[in-house]
Order: sequence, then C-alpha cells, then structure tokens
Amino acid sequence: MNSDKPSDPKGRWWRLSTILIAAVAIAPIVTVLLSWLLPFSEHWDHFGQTILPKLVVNSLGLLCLVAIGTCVIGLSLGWIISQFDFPGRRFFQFALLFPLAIPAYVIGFVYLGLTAFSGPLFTGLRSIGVGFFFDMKTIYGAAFVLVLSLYPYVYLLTKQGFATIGHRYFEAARALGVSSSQVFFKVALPMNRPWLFVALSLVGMETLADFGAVSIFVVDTFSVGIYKAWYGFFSPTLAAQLASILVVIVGGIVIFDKVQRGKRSFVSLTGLSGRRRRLHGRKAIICFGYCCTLFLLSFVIPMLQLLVWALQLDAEIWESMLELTSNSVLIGLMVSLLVTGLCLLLVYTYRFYSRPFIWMASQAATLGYALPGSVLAIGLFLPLAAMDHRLADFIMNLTGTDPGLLLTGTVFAVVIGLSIRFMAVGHAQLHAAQQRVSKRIDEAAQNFGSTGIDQMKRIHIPIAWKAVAASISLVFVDSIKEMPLTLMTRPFSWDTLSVKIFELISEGEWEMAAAPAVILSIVGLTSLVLLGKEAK
Amino acid sequence: MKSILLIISLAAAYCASGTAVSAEELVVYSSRKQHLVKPVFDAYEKKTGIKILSVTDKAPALVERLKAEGKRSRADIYMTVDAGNLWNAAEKGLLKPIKSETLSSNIPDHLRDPNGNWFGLTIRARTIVYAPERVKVAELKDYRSLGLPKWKKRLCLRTAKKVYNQSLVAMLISDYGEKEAESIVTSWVANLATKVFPNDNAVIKAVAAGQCDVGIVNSYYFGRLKKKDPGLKVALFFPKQSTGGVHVNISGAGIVSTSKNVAKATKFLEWMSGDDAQKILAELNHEYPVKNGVPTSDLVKSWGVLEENKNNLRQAGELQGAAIKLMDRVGYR
Repeated sequence: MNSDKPSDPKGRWWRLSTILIAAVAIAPIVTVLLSWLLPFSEHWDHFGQTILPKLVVNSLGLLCLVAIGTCVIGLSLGWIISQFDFPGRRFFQFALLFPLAIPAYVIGFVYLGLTAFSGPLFTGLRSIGVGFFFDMKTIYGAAFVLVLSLYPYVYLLTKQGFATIGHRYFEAARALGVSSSQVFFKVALPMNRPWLFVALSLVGMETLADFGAVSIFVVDTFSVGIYKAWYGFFSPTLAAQLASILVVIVGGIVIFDKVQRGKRSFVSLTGLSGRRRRLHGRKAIICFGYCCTLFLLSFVIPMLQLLVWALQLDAEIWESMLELTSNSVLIGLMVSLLVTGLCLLLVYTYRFYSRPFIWMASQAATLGYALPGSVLAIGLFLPLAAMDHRLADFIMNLTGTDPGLLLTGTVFAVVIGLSIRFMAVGHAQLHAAQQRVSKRIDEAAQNFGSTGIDQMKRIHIPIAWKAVAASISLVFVDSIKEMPLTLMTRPFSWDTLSVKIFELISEGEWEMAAAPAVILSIVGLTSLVLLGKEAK
Repeated sequence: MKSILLIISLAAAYCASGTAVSAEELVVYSSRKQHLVKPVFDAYEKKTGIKILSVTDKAPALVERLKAEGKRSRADIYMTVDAGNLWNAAEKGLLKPIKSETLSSNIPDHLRDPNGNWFGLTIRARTIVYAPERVKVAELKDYRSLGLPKWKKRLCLRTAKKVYNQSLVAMLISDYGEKEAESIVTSWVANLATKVFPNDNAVIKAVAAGQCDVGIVNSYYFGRLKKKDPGLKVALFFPKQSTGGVHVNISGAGIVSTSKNVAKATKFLEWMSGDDAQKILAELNHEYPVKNGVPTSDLVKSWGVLEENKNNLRQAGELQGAAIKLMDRVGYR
C-alpha cells in the first residue's frame, strides 16, 4: 500500500530519524542496564534476604490498587461524560483533568496534614468527644492519593476512545435489545481496550516510579529500595541494578500487550460521535454527585488547603517567584513542543513506513517514563558528561585551550532530560489518535500524490489536532512538575518552581511550599484550560 | 512555520547561554536549602566582592555529578548536612585535604575530619522531645532508656530512612557495640505509639496533640515550631554527659579536589568558621555554632546547656551501612 519498498529514499530518512530519537532516548536506560557489568555491591545479600521480598510485594500491591482505582474511576467518568448529558457535564468534562496540575506528593502532604492525629479533622472530632482515629500512613493511603492524582490519564484517554468508537456500535447493540450495562461491558469496554491499556501503562509506570508520594506515607516500595541503596548505602550501582529490573518489567508488559493484541485493529466507524443521551431525575443527580465528589477530593480540597497556607505567608517569599515561574514556563514550553514534534515523527514513521524494528524503536523511546526520576537523572548525566568531556578534549586539541564542560549544567541538558522522561506521555496521546484513522485515508491521499510530511500536514495533523494539543498541554504540565531531573541537570543558580518546592518540603516546610505549589498549579491549570478550548 | 522556527532559534539561544564563572566567583554544590545559606553567601560577597554561585540538590546526586564532571567540574566547595554525606564524598576522593590553623582552632576536633577533608560549620542536636503535661523531667535519662517498658505505646519516631536516624543509630553502635544497639532499637520499636512519621515536624505535633508522650527530633525543628507557636505544649530534654550526652551532627563543607581556587575556597571556609558567619548561621536555623564563644539565638539559649557526645562524627559515616541493616533487621521502618 504505502511506499514501503526498501529502495524508497524518503522512508529511509523517516526511519533513520526514528532510530536516532530512540538511540538518544534509550542512552540513559542503557547506562542504567550497564550497571550489571560493574562489581556487585556487598549489600546485595542484605537486600535479597531482608527487604527485597517485602518491597516487591508492596510495589505489586500498590500497583494493583492504583490500577483498579484509576480504571474504575477513569473509565466510569469517560463513559458517562462521553455518552450522557447531565447538569454540570460541560464543566466537569475539563475540570476533572485539573488534578493533573497538582503534583501527587502535594496532594499527599495535604491529605496527611488534614488527617494527622494533630490535624484539623481528628482534633475537631476529639473536641466533640469522638475519639475515633485512623492513620492514613498505609499502602491504602498512598493508593488513595495516587488514584486521585492519576485517574485523569485514564479518564482522558478512554473518553477519547468512547468518542472515537462512535455511537453506531452502541446504538446497534441497543437495537438488538442489549441492556445499557451490557452495552458498556460487552461492547464499549472491549472496544476501548487500546486506549485503556495505554492509559493504564502510563498510570503503572508513574506508580512504580513514584517516590514523593510513597515516602510521605512511609510505604516501602521498590523505588524506595532504589533510593535506599543509593542514599543510604551510598551505592548508585546497586540502585541502578534495582532500577533496571523495573525497566525490564515494564518492557515485558508492553511487548505482552502487543503480542496479545496481534493485528486486530480498532478503527472508528464514523469518525463522528452521535448525540449524547440526556439524563433526568435520579440518574442525573447521581452522575452530578459522582463527578462533584471526585472533583472535590482530587482538586478543590488540596487547592483550598494550599491557598490557606499560602495566604498566611510573608510577602518576602513571593518576591522570588517571578523568576522561578518564568524559568518553569520556558522549560515547559520547550519540552512540550520538542516532545510533541518528536512523537509525531515516531508515530507517523510507524504508520507510513513500518518495519518491525520501527515499532521496537518507538516503544523503546518511551521507556524513560518507567524509571524513578533520580535514576534517570544519573543515567542521563553520565553519558552526557562523557560526551561533554570528548567535546572539550576535541576543542582543546584543536585550539589549545580547555573550554570546560559545555553541555552539562545548561538548560539544554534540562530540556533533553525532561524530553526523554516524558516521551511516553506525548506518544500515548498521538499513538492512540492515529490508530483510529483508517489506513484507507492514507491510500486515498497517496492516489492524489500526497505522502510523508505533506500528508501529515494536510490530513493527519488536522484530524489528530486534539491529540496534538493534549500532548503539548500534558507534557507541559508534567515537565514543570518534575523535580529530580531538573535538580541534577540545571545550571548554577538557576531554579524553577518545582526545585523550590523540593527545597521546602525536604525540610518539612509544607506551609511555605504552598507558595510555589499554588503558582505551579495555576500555571498547569492554564495550560489545561487552553487544552480544553482547543479540544472543543 | 516561520513562528515555530523563531521560537526554536530563540530557545536555542536561551539554551546556549551557560553561566560562565569569572575569577571573582566561587561555585558551591550544596544540599542545604537556599534560604538557610543565602544570607551568609550575600554577607561574604558584600565583604570581599567574591560572588558565591550555588546549585542545590540532594547530597548523593551532587556526589555523582562531581564524579561525572571530574577534572572539568567548576565546583569549588561541597556543602551538605550530616557527617555521613561528607564522609562519603571524602571516601570517593572528591574532597581535598586542607591544613588551616584557623579552621583547626575554630572547629573542635570531633566536628571535623581528622584528615582535613571536611569541616563542621554548625551543630545540630538530635534529642528527646516530651510532653511536660504527661511526663516529668526526672523520668527521662538518655536515648537507651526510651526502650524501657514504661514508655510502651508512648514513643513516636521518624522513619528510619532519614539519615539523621541512621547517624543516631550509628553513634549508638559506636557507643554501645552492635549487639547492645540492636536491643535498644528493638525496644524502641516495641514502644511505638503509632506508625513512624515522614518528618520531625510531624513527630513534634504528635507529641503536642497527645498521640504520644516522647519522641526524638532535631532541636531546630522544635525551634521553628516553637517560634511560630510559643504556646506549643512540648519541651526538649538533653541527655547529660554522664549518660552519653546529646547526639549531635553537623552541617559542613569541604573543598572539591578538582577546584582551581583552593586558596580562595579555603579563605571562604575560614570565614564561615569565624565569628560573623557563625552568628548568622546559628541565628538562621536555631542551630548551634561550632566555634566556642559565639552566642546562640535567644530561643536556643532558653533550652539550657548542650552537653555533646564527643565521639568523632566520622563514625556516623563509617557505620551508616551497619546502622541501616540493623534497623531493617528489627523492623524499624
């Protein structure tokens, strides 16, 4: 069908650039995997015998809880918002994405503060004579917070899925006398699988890599073990070896899905969604109440608490915020545009000029998301510094003066690092979007002589515009929230909002951290609101 | 398309603008919070005209950064909290041994590396916090006695993952031997009133709210909370020298082995250990100055006399691995 012959020169350039992107993106992961070649740490025995089994059980437990939680919430929201009309639907459609603007550890410390024995909830209860207390510092508490912060991924992608599948299938099923719930379980859910899987793999990677939230709830997961190896036993080698186990697991899941799904395609029947069914009475109230509760728990409560803290702060702390904010916004813009551009290239190389290794390469390019941020940071820093030394040597040989390190400790390093980390987020959006466009469109375009970039510009980007906007917006939000990579790769005396939050919360100064956290959330929200406008 | 090209070229120009380091500058790699050290840096710049550039990160990440940058690193000084972190950097050969009369006379022996790799700049006391309404001072003695059965379900601790607790247990090992230290930590775990907390502030608040009666925290966290809320119903207890004294740790610094400004960096550290800087450092975070004769803040003074445990802090680093394994074994999370 497409210009798929090996001699095709255009396809070669596309494939070459895909492989180049993958090679750069995978460099930190290879660095981490290479740690197995280094001498084994004396601490392996202790890890293997005393703590590793517990860490694995905890990680799997947390993964299951968060996957089930986000799946139930995200899917149900995706379904009711895409299929039904009820009071508040238009608002909730975008408002339910707002939790993405608040980092998970921030939602975490807000809830921990509220539900501490000394916090307002239980102090209030005790003052009216109720002695009841539960401790949120459990795996369930951590799961609760991660679900609240991650369900929007599932909601966003499955909603797109339901909208794409189109109403005709559902209407056909109903015409055959299938009940509403059966339509959901027998038709809608199975057809939504590609979107659900992409969303759940994002959620899973984020959960496995999370350190901030689990450490607030003192839950010992695998990533906590990784940090313990590095920070406690001073062995980055052991940390990298442990981290590479995570990469292998995630890689395995991705391949498993590919093999299992085989060649089944999921293409829209109409490409247009039908009319939503209007709900009345009790059903409308239930839907409204459900959305309302989630919005309160995941956004309003954390945001109100942050505002209360932020308003009590001295004016002093606000003065430094302007520079931090502009740095954050600049970084966010550069990373989100770069990632979206690269992901478009990856996704459409796979579509136009597919080869088996192209699929592998584009999947490999997204694995950076699975590593805990600090481990990715050091995996990135080592090859970058090595390259930098070569460059400096080269210039020194040429000119006789040592230029010093030119790449490390620059904004360039931050942008590259964050792009590698968030490729998965952009890729998820764009890949899901191109899947639903029939290949016949490509063939038709080709008959009119439109291929490659031209075809992308004239056909695919306009069709997938919502996904492009979503990719830019989500990557923007993620990169301004990111901490460990930004910390390690940034230039001297150059800080962002997330760096400031790190400095304050690592000293337990949660109230002071509210100032940068509020601004960070507002900047993130702005980007989400723009996404909402764009997607209308 | 044109606008995209414009954005890209602007971005490229922005990226390329690295921070050049001139002769009148020193670069500090620091795991200390900006707001706790910036005023001292500013004071130095005002006095000497030398600008202090700093980059903050967690201590182990800075160590890896220094290793990767090697001879081309622009760092002159490595500054962090906890002797364990300083010891680790010295172990990896990243610090340069310094001989300085001023540093030796300003900083007591047990608060600096015997080989001159690193120097303590402030003292932080990790001590006992209690609720005066429910606990009499006479009931308190030392860290070990918090394992007595009378404290059953009355003790609150921060997580074992924090380096402050790892150093504390390392020093217990050095004082009592590994076996005895293990039984002490076991008895603490048996006495816990609730799950361990993620930070010291939460421990102090739990004691104040009545969730538990005693805990172990760094004194400056207590200082910050007390300053915010003078009515807070908690108090500090310092173990006496006769029962081992108070476990102290340091924030400190060393000179990076690849620094091209060793003389200038040494001068800076000497100034940091002198009266002016010590006074600012101690005031900023309710810590104790390392130099004798420098006054503490009024709030810190009100807590009474600090009788330190005088074991050399190098051991906090050497025994850190053993301490973590011990805590893992007895289920202190």
